[in-house]
Amino acid sequence: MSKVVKSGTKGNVFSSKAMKKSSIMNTKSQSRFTSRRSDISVSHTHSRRSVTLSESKLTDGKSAGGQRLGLIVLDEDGNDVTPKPLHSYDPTVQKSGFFGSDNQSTVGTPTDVMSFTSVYQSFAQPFSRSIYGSTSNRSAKSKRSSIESSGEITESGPEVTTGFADVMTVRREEVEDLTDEDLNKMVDVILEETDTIWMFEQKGIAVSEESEESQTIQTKNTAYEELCKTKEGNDRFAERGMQTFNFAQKHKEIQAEKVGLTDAAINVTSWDMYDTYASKEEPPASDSNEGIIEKRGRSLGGGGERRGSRDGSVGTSRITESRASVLTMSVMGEPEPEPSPQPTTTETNETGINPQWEKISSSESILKHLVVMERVVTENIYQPKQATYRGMSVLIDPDKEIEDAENAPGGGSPDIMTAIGPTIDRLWSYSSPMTKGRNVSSMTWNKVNPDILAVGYGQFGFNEQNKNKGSLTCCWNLKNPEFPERVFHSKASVTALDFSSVYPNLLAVGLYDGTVCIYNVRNTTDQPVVDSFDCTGKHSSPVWQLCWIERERGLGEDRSEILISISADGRVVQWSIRKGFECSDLMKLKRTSSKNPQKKKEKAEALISRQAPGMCFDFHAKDSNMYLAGTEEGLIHKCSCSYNEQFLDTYTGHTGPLYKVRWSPYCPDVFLSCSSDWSIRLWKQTELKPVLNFFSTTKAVHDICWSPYSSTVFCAVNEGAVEIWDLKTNTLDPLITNLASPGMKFSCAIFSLNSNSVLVGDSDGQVSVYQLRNMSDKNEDKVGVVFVLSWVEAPMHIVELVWSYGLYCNDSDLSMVAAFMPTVKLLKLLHCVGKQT
Amino acid sequence: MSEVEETIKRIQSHKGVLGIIVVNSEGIPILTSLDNSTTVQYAGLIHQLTMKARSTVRDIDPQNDLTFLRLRSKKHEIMVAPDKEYLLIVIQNPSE
Repeated sequence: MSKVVKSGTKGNVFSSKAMKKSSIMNTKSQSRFTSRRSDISVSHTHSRRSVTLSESKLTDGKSAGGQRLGLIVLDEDGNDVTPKPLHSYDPTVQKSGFFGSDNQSTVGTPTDVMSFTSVYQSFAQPFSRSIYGSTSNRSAKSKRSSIESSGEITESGPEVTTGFADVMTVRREEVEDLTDEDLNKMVDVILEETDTIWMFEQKGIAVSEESEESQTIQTKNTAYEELCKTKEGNDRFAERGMQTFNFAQKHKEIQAEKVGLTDAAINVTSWDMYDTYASKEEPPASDSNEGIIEKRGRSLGGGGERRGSRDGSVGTSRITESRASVLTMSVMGEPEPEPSPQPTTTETNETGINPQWEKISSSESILKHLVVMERVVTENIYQPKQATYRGMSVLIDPDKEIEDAENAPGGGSPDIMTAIGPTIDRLWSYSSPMTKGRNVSSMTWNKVNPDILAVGYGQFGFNEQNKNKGSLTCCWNLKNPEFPERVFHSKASVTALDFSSVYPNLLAVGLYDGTVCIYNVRNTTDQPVVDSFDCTGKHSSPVWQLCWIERERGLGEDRSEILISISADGRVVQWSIRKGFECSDLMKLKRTSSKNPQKKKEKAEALISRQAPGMCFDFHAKDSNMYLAGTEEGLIHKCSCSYNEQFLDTYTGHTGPLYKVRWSPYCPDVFLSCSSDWSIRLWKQTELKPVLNFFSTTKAVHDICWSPYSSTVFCAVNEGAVEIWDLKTNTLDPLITNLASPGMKFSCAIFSLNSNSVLVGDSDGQVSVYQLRNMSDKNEDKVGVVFVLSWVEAPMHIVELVWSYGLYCNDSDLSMVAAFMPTVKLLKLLHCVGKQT
Repeated sequence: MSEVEETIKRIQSHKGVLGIIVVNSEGIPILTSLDNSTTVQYAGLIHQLTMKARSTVRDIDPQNDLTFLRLRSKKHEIMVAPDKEYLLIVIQNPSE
């Protein structure tokens, strides 16, 4: 048993309990010291007693404890087995304030003792010390050597403990020194490479076979292996159990931050995959980032509620770039589109959304969509009428209240309708605010698309020319009766129009000042493609009619077309656009002297112009070399393109300017003419006098038009009424008369090509569409209708009755039949109707 | 005024048209002629429906695409012209 010798004063480290323990400790083994450490920390209230006791104890101690300053452990043999301290005192450390505290009582008041030792305890020194020891140490500090010899512990103890309050002060002073002086000094910092610090070294256990040791190692290895084999039964080996200490375990809980989890779901559709493949084939450089986002925006939307669909399909890092995808990833399964919780309209968030609108509005597609939308919206309103126009059945709105049967378009009991007889029913009218008040001067259908109608708005008379600021040409579409698809402005009044058939987008326009322009209706620009302004042979008077004629020229050109115009300056001019805009005269309409024998006595009048103003012309359907020209004199000249000086024939009969002359589409020999002398006359090519005259009104007849469906029907327009004539039923009166509303005059008419309707333009700028109903000849029945012409001349002339057949197919039959027709002279009108299959 | 704006004005003043809305690709209305709450409602719902319709069409044949959508109800008709970047919605009451 080693004896514990306590040197010095232990001070308050020992309570009564501790003393007991210490007494016990005296007899017990050295290992108890460790436990004392915990006892030391118990109370220091009994300091005084403990001090004294310890002192007494100490004095009891055998060793030179009074002088020995440290705690000395002696074993039974008296050897000094004082454990070496863990901490070595460094005497070089200055303790400037140490002596200051030394000024206090060497013994130290109990409070001082307490404070010191409390601090001392906090450092858990291996050996406790008494105050006296510390104080004596302090006193001994003056001799450094003794301090050193007494052991490192003692020094370190007071150094640390006593110095705590002192050290604090020391430190503070040191800090203050720095702040005052040293901060501004330039301090040299020298970086040096330190010595290599070995933290861990493990030599390999493998040795190369070629090294020197390998032999010895191999022999050792083999020896070891043999040893292991003989291990089991060998006497030299004994089994022995060992127990490891299981130290007390302690639970310690820590808490880590919660790992955030995100759900991601992907819904891939077949078109998503298709899009991905398609986009991969395209060069990726062409797409900007924005473009990619836009494209994904589209496929995003297609994914439905699962907005993450595109992520799966695209599968690139582009996902993270998109703002929208970030939003969508965090929100799953929400039915609402998450970016729109605070949607704002343009009024409230102008900076953000207006640029978007500007970008969209400048794109091309929006215009197309708007046009389609406009048509759809229009269709909703006009559907019944457009359906009847086309002859289709009208869709009945199931939610609409059923109105009176008579009012429903196309409805009504058929009995009533047939009882009324043939009527025309106004469907709608093409009009728009910009065309209001203008006179419709000419209309023409597009040759390729029969829904497109070009309408020219212009005044006829010279006095009215100045009233308008300009004139319009509008292209209307059946699908939108409220606003024209194209509008072309021109300075002078438009008087003639025609669409080309070879180039269906070219529209030729003739103006009141004699100009001929050609517009390309594919563009929306207001400029004509060519203008005759610079041409040398241009007209000097209003162009009253234009026509594109297809000519079959030799030299291998298959479809060439020329534009022919007739104007009031008495010339029929042919235009070509091969090199610029060239024109050449086809015919000069000369004035023919009156053939009336009664006027022979008159002198030749002084004429302003030697030429008769031409008002209208019409080319023969079959023979494109021959045409009819009507003049202001009331004469119709049959001309040929081959002769530009002479007429082939002249038809007299009208007493006023001819407004229109038209070949019949069914009978190649028959043509119709109307003039301002209130009459319409029917002519046969071989007769120079009219075959039939129609007097139904006392107003100038502005326009006539043959029906494309029936060979005996034509429409005549005079200022006050629209008349539909059917020669089969009645040659004296029109079949249908539709009077104009007061203040409005009809000015031109045209039959519709794909519908049983006639379009009539009036002086108010409206083009009304009238559908013909209950015409006695059903239009489904397109078989040729036979009709009979007969004419009655003035009293004593012989009447001839001619039979002729009108067929809408070939005319070889016609000539064959005509050859066998008897010519019977009769006074009566006869007609018969027959059908030929 | 540009042609686009003129056409929009004409459509708006057409007989029976209640309103016209242009919505961007995310469902946020950009241009509207209706009041705010109605616009928001229409924009969100119609956007979803159009996306679903387009998805349906393209699922059947990926080379196909939706060009126009008309929704006829008792009271009025909603017409939608979809595009990559926007949706054009027009609401009309045709039976007036």
